[in-house]
Amino acid sequence: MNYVVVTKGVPDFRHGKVVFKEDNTLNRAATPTVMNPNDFLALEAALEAKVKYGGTVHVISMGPPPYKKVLQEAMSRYADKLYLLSDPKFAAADTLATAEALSAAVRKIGNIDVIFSGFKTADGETGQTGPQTAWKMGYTLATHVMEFSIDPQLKKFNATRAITGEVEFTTGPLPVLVVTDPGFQSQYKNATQRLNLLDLQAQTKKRAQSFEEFLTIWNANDLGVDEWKVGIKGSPTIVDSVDPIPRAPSERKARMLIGTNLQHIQEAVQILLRSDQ
Amino acid sequence: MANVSLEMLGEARRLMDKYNRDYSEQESVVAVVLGHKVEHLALEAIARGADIVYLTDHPELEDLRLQPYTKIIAQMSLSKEARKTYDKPRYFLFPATNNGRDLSSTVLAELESGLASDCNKLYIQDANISHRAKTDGTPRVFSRILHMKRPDFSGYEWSTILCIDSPKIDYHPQACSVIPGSFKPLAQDPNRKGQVIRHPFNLPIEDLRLTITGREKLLNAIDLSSYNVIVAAGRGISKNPSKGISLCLELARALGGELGLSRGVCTAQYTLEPSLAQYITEARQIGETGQTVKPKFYIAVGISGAIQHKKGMDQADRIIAINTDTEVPIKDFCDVFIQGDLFEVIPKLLEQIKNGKKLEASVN
Amino acid sequence: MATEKFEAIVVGCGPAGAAAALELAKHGVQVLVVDRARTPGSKNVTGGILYGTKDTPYNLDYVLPNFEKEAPLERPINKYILHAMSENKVRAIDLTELHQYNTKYAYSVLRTPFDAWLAEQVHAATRKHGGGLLTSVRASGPLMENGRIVGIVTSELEPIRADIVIAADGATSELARAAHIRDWMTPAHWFQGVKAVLKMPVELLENRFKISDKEGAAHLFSGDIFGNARGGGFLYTNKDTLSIGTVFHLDSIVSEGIEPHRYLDRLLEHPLLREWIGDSYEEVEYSAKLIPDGKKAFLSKPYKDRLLVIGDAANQMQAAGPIIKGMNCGITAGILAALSYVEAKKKGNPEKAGEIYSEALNSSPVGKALRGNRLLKSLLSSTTSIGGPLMTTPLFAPILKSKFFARQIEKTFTSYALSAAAPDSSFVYTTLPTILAKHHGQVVTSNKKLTPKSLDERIGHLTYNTDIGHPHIEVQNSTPEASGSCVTTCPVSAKDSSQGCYRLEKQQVNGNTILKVVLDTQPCVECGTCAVVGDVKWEHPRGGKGIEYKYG
Repeated sequence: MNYVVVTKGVPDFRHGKVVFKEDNTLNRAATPTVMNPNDFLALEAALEAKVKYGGTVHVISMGPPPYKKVLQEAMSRYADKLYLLSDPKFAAADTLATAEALSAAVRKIGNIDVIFSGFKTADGETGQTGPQTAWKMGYTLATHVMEFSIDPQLKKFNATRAITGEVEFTTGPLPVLVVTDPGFQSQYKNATQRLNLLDLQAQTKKRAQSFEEFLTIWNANDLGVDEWKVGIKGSPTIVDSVDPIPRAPSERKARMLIGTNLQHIQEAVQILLRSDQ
Repeated sequence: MANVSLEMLGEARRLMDKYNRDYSEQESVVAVVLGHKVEHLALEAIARGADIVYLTDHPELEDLRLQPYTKIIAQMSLSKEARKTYDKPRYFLFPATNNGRDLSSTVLAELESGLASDCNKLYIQDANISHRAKTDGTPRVFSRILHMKRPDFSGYEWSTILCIDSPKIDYHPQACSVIPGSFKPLAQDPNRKGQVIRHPFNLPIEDLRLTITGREKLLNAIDLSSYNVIVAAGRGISKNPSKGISLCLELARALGGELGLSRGVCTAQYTLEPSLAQYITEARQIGETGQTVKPKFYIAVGISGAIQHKKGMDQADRIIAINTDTEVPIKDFCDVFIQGDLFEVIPKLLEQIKNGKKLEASVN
Repeated sequence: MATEKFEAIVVGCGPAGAAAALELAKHGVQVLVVDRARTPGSKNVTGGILYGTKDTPYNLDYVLPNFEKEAPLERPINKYILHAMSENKVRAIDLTELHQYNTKYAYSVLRTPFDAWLAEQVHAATRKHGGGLLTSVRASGPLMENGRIVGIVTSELEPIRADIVIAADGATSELARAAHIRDWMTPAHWFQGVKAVLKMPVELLENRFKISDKEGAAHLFSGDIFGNARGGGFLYTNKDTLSIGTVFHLDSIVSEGIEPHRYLDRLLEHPLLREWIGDSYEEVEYSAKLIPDGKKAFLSKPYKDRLLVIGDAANQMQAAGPIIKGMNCGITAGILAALSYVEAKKKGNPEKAGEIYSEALNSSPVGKALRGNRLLKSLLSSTTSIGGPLMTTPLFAPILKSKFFARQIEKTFTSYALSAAAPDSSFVYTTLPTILAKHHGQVVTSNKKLTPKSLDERIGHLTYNTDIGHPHIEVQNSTPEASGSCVTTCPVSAKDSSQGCYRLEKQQVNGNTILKVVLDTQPCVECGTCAVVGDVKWEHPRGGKGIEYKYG
């Protein structure tokens, strides 16, 4: 069995890590880059598949050369092989153009039974890239997956999906692209599986220390993509402008009102009914 | 019909009415309805703002599956009927629900065009663009561009996304998925006239390869993070829990919001009137072991503001506390503190809200 | 469907379980160890001092010969002082000799880092033979077949069979209860300890307690500072922290009705402690634990079928007066259990392991000590119950004031045999030390101010991985009569606390006001007190859930 996990590097939005400018708006350039938090679930799902069904886990990320650090983070969770898609031609890609590059890489690795993807990056937050990659690959698509299993003999998968207010049970043929829901949980119900999991986790942590031995870097030529379908040239959408939203004040000063005072009540209601555009 | 669909129809109507005025055109709002036994939704769509409805009604479409739905929508988009000069839709709106967002992604991958997700503001106007790939760096005017505004970067940015042709490719449609609750629906108008076009179901068996084997409803699931206003009840309601909950509910509804609970209320084992008992559920709990919310307004009723609770709500835009005790922790992290007995304060607030709304209505 | 099988299962990876697993692995046995914490040690608390004793080779160094160099130990304890207290008068009694008696080594430890280190050794050793350590797995009971125990059932995994199961799941052991080897007993069968870990700059700590960087001190406190509660306080020096706490017989906490954390605060506020630590510390963790009273509840038949019970789960604790030895008892029992299985297997009768273990335990020094010298015990018991009240009569006053009397009493404290046999009465815990301090103590004063943390602050500081929607304790009878003691004896509850587990609430039902015992399990520290004193249904939280200490 062969698995791919597609990952992305994003600004570190964790409390205490994200850097602000003087006006309390986000300073993207100064904030360090880390693995997109939701992608860790995709890595866990791939590891679960390997523990239960065997195989190789290939982890791909698209970004400039420093993003290989993000792949090192991936390997410390689990990866057998790493691939960085790096080329100025890939830069400033929207989801459609990203899906194009990722699909080309998956085809180049070849023979992939399952692609795992996280849901929504912490920066773009579109949730589109996974489904668009699946569509370009012609793979069955299972999104918002909470639990899944594979039948390698019958080449089928089962997935439990989260939909608003409901849980859906689906089954379909491989190959498939699985988008893990933020509530995804790997299921290990027997001790032997869990012990093997511990072994694999120990091995990958060791490998991650010399991760570059397992890293392949591909550019646009290596992937043979049409330059008008990737990167800034291949992106139908552009970000025209950005309104920065300052973080909520950590110190608030309360306006003290007395509940028996009618004017105070009216003041409170004024605040509540005021609509902001 | 889901609320978000009514909201999208309302917004689409407003967008196209303005578009037709601005550009002296007569373009239509088209609703796409897929499913099984959904004819009535086609008629409702017209009453809620659609000029044309494209309908495919078939047993295989009873559940939403991405493959067949995507293929049919793509077929509809490429159909030459009823659209005069354009082969494809100019603008396409999808709901930003789990399924809706996925569907928007696959449809736009199939149509190979641009998509912005989770938008909460839309307007159509000409755009003056200077872009190194699209215009070789020189400024150019692109007309009738859908401006799609959406929050991203984990709440730190509100970006405006545009779908612009490249020198090599004309991109159609300009598409987005829309956050539920962002727009207002139109009132139902049974006299509106519109056309229903039936699109035949014509798909190879390959497109039906995913099978749904079952479903389970999630009891009590309520996503408080999608509301602009949360009224949270704390243990200040102890002396009369039923009255306390019903007052908080009323306040929430008057402000278009929902009821949340502190952990203390969830574990207190109050005896409540039967009609209200359903509201005491861990599903409504806000705090470290409950939901985290960032609404525009968080009204903390009889809540002291212990750190466990604070973690679930201190990122709200405005925090209003109602409490008899001015020495509680929440006084240090709220914007407005109303000192008083919630059983007296909330009725007064409700009265003023009613007056305020009457005023607004008479002005409009 | 085939059930998984491992040759041996050990439930719980504290010192006792670790020792059993390491010894089994030494003999090539395939051992699966399961622990319900995410990291072993994050749910464990000790006073605490780890001992090695001279009367048995089966100490920690038997299974981990290099532990003294490699394990994260705090300080070797070479000073041991009992402070008899009466109000602000204190008489210090040097118990170092008593402490050294039969002691091979003694180290202060903090369980979270220490057990985590043990866990690494256990996993490495057991993995070599096809077993290993799995965390976040909670054993909920024995696996039964034809009425016999053949393995374990857990919340996270399919049932697992084994030729031997060793239960080392602590004072609140579910396996021991489920197999009816023991139950919750009564408050009189338990001690309850609460503890605070205080951080202090190292140089200051060494200066105030007069120890070098290679030394450590243990201080005990007893007298009227704690009213009629039977027990005392302790202070152990760690590298850069102090473990300060109070331990009482649980029945005296119930009868006194004073919340446990208040005793800790009384100790902290005493001028002696204020002088030592007053202005220069930061309280970093509050914790609590139940300790079974080995004197009263030692199990002489700690096994059933293929299930052997060790450590706190088998009530194996040994007190010689104020010196409490718990971890080493569990370690010894763990090694004995392992050796018993190996022997039974060699003889071709692995199911006889329990019998062999039980015999070995009863004839071991610990077993003998706990069964104790009955004659001496009853002699002391009657002497003190008569002598006690007698001593407080005016007739005795001149005798009490004499230095001779003081020396004699101190001799009894420092005698191992007498200490071990002394009854657990308020005479011994309170009256005697109070008399000593009143007549022979020195006044201690302090200008330093010390404000202990409130219970709400202490609870707010702890980390919980709450199992949302699955509370692990259920109040069966919420009337104040049945479960009211929970409110005062639970270490994370108090009448004036809004953040704690148990509350007594006034509620309106049909126009009447009733009092109800209400429970929120979120801040639970899983000590088990409420299960002993109230009418509640008590289980461990599921694997990986619940309290997570940082110091322990």
